[in-house]
Amino acid sequence: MADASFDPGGYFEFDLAKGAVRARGGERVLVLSDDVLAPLISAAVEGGDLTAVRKMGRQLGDAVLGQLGGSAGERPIEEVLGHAAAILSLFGWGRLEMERWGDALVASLEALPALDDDHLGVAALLGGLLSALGGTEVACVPVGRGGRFMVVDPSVAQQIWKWARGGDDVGAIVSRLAPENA
Amino acid sequence: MSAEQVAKLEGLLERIQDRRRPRPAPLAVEAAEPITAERPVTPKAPALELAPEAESEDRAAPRPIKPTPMEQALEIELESSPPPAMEDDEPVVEITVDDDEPEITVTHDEPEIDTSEQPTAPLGTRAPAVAASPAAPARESLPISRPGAPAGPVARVVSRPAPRTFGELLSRTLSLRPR
Repeated sequence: MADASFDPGGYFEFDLAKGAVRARGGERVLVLSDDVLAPLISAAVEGGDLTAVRKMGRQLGDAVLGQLGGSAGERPIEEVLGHAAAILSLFGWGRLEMERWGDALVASLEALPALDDDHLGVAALLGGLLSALGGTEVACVPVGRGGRFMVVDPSVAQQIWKWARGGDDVGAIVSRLAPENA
Repeated sequence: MSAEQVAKLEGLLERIQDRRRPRPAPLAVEAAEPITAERPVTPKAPALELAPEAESEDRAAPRPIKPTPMEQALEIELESSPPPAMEDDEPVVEITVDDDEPEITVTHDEPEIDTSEQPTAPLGTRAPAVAASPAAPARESLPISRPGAPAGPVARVVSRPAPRTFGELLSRTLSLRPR
């Protein structure tokens, strides 16, 4: 999923004289090895505080909004998700695909970095990104081992995580969900 | 020991007892050797045993009858003969009866046969009696009220249009709750 309107050329500016790397929006970024980032993410997962990772995702979401030129709520789905996928690819978080299961939305990330066993770090990153795009709190819950994350309201994230840990796949979990006002 | 063996032994004993009865001494008998203190008494042949021995004054008292070699052989045979051998594959049946156990009563649930109406002729030649069978009940269908033809469609499928915007897509996703 890549938006043809998104041009990644020149997104990063390497200022070798100052020894800094800046993204298109002007924010400074660091180039890190996943071997360095993985223990930090794992420590955050063990500590139960993924706020920093979620903040990283929000920054990526802000980058997408910057490319869109405003809020994403009223924009076409393909445009928003295409920009999001492009930003994630530029920062090296993998290739994003989105699946619709009825009203449920599942994010699939291929070639994602192996930062922790359950991909909770990547889930927090995606949750921060979608929260920035939607203007509301969004949680992503790992489902299975294939880099798939169910997009849900944070109030039901714990239940979804419990079902996923119990072995339920996406289809089984979706069948247990219904719209709140149905 | 089989009955035949017992009968044979009894006959043998009877013949021995018969021979031990006093009877006239034979006329021609070898002279008995005098028993002296220096010479041990040596058993004689069975023929000499039947002859009256020469009795001295020391042996005037009646002496217990000494069993003959035949009697000794018979006694040994009777004592040492084992019981009839049992074949290995012959089952040993032991029946024990426990008086404390309640008796098992076998009841027969089959209805008793009414002998008052037994056929007086062989069944094959007797014509079956025509019994007055009760009239079969007439088939009666229970009334079932059937619904009339539906005035409209039986089912109505409500479909929602697919979300068009990212906000709508996210809103629907976030509205999902466990059933």
